Amino acid sequence: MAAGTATQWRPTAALVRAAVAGPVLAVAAVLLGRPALLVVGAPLLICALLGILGRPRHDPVVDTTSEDRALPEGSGTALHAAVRWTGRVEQVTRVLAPVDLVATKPVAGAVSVTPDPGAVAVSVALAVSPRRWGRPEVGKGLLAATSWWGGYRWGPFPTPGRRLTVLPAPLPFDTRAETPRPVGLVGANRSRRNGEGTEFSGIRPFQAGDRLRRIHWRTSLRTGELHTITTTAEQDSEVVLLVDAIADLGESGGVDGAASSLDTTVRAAAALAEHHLRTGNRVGLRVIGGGAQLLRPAAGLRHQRRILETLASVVPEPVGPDARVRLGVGAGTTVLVLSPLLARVVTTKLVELANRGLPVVAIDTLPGERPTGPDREALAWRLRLVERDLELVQLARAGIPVVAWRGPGTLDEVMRRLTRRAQLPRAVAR
Amino acid sequence: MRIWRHPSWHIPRSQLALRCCVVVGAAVVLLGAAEVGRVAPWLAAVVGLLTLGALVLPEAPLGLLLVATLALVWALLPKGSVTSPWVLLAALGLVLVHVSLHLAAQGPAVMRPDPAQLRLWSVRAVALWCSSALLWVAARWLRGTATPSAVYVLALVVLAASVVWIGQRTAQGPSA
Repeated sequence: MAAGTATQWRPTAALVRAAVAGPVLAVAAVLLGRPALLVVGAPLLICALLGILGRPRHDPVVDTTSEDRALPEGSGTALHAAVRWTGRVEQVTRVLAPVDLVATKPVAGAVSVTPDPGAVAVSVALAVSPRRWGRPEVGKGLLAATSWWGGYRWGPFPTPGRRLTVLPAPLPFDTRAETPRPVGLVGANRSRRNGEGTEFSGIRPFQAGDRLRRIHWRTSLRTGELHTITTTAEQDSEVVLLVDAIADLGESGGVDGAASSLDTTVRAAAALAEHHLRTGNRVGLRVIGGGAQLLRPAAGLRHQRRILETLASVVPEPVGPDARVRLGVGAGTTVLVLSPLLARVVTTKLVELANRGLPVVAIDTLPGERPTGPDREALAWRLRLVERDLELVQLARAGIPVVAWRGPGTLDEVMRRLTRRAQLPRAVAR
Repeated sequence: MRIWRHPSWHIPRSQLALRCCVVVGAAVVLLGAAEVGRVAPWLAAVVGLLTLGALVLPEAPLGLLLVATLALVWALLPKGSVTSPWVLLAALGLVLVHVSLHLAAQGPAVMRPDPAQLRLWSVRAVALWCSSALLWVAARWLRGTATPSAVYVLALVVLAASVVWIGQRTAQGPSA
């Protein structure tokens, strides 16, 4: 194969400059009898000669990889481009196409590497850090190699992108309140019935089969009859997180910036899932809009990972007011709805769930900023927010508590109220 | 803690320095020419415009036009200027323009040039200028004694030797 016909090495601007100006100056020096021109043009002539001598005969081979396929938002990973060649390559440059809310190191998203003398391969690494959950495609860009003395350039050629799964970073959350209706077998929530737990329930006369270590000796001595301590059973609960992905309101500045409504929704859902799975509850996930994904309630770390991956793939997608949304929520399930509460379909579903007798809590994730100004858009927003306030009042009348997300302690008070309410007799519409 | 920042269009200092070198190089060539003879103002203006263009687009053919115009400046000077030491300054300026444009064209303006490349090309620039200096010394030494053709033959020999020497020198890498 003849060199120069099959390869994609092209002369650089520097080689063209030197190869044109150098010989022209040398010829002019001879023709005009001006040695000064030769003195001035000699460096260019040398550059051109050496550049031409260093022309590689084969194209480099590029292989791109990334260290991670899934990572939490805010953390970083390295994108590698391994370049192999034959001949003399003295520089490899890689430039990444900018991706929204993905930071790079170096900041410019471009890096130039000088291989060691005699090397036939080099790895060009660029670090990227997605600042927001989601599934961004990173690594797309251009790669170029320059031959000896900057004579020829291969590329720039596009490098393929790679889709990363950026898991949402759970917001700080903790609650000391129990879920209202523990219905499972083994867990950390106090049940309404007595059983083998640790929480004190009462003292009653000894019955056959009671454990001796549960005898309450003080009462037994006072009454002259054996009495034992009873404890409440500890059971797990089923919690379903309803994530409203119908719209994304507000600006998202990434993990260290401002949070849009969907940012708060997704990160709060991740925090709630983490908390409840850690305490032994079964957690399900239902996304309204944004792919309408459904994860059945389950427990364990693997399920937590599945929830995070599902949340990472959420994209805002409108749902019509008459859309049929199947929630897949069973009896006894505690439903936590994370929503900016602006879509009618969500508020309607909330009321439906409450009417079924399920404990429902709406967590308001609308950003705090309110539109101001005289323009029509701001006015329309304010009108919609007034309507929303009225809808929230109606939700409260329907027995659905609405709390704004504020991190740890968000659910303490409402969960206690729901627990107390769950212990009362209630007529349920069937 | 590692602080991450979003991509920006901030041009690093090293890129600005490279572009400054282009301006300085072109100015040095003009200055040397002005010391030896007279530079037409329109030619100086053209050099200025081309320099500005090359600063913005170092990869474009504007660099070639800039170098060609600088060569034209020296071609229009009176004969006998080879004995002037300003020729060496002009050669230095041209090397500076050429190398700076090459380094600036290695990536986008926001990219920080690889320090190893800067070191490598600094060594090369000095070596290239040394070849000019050798030519200048040889031409000045032979000026009174030999015919002009002998100067050119000697120049070609020196040039060939320079090519071999610089090639061997830089094949070892920047740290050699």
